[in-house]
Amino acid sequence: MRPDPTTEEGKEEIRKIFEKRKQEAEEARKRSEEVVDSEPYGKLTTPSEIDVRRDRKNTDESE
Amino acid sequence: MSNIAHKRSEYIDAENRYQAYRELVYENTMLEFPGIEVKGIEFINCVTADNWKNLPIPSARAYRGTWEWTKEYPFYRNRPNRFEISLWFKGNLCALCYGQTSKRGTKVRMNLIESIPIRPSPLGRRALPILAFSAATFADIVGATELWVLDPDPNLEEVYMRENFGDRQIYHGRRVGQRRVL
Repeated sequence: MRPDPTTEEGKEEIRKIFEKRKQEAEEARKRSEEVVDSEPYGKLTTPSEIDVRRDRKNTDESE
Repeated sequence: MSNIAHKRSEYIDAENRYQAYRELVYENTMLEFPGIEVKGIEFINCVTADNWKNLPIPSARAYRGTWEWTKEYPFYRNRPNRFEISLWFKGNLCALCYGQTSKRGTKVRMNLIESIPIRPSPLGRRALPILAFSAATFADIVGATELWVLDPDPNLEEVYMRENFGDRQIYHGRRVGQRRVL
C-alpha cells in the first residue's frame, strides 16, 4: 500500500522512508564530491531508437 | 459518471499523487545535498539540454544515442507514474533524468540520463550519485523493490556500479540494464 501524501500518516510514512536512506545519502554525498570532473558527461544512457519508441508507448510488460 | 470522465478523474488523482511523491523526493534530495536545487522537468529545460550539443566542446552526445529531450517530453509528461528530475546549481541546469515505474509498481527504471557537458562541472558535484539516490527514494515510496538503469553505456558499467547497481544483465528478455535491489 503506497503512502497517501495528503495525510499526516502518509507523510510520516514517507519521512520514515527517507530516514532509512540517511546513511546512504551521506555515502552518496561523499561520492558526489570525489574527483568531480572525472564523471562522464553528456548522455549516460544509450537506448536504441526502437527502445526509445517502445518507451514512448510504455509497452514494457514487466511487473 | 461516464467511463471517460471516470478515467479522467483516475488520471488526475494518479498525477496528483505521484507529483506529491516527486516533490517530496526533490525536497529530501535538496536537504541531503545542500546547495543543489532539485526540480521536475519543464519543456524549456528540454530545449536547454538539447542545445548542449551546440556547446563548442567535445561532446559524448552523438555516440551515446539519438534521443532528444524535447521529443520525449510529451510522452513522459503524460504518464503519472514517471520519475523525472532535474539538478540545478546557481540557476544553471546541470543534469536531467526521465524514468518510469513499471506497470505493477515493482520496478522503477531510469531511462534517459544526461549531465551538462561542461568541465569543470557547474554542478560542483558528480550528478549520478544524486540522481541515483533520488530515484531510489522515489522507488521506495512507490513500493518498488528494484531500481534499474536501462541501456547504460557499456563503457559506464563501473560508473553505475559505484552507485550500487549490479553488472549488466538482460532486462525483461530483450534489453540490457543494471539493477539495484532496494
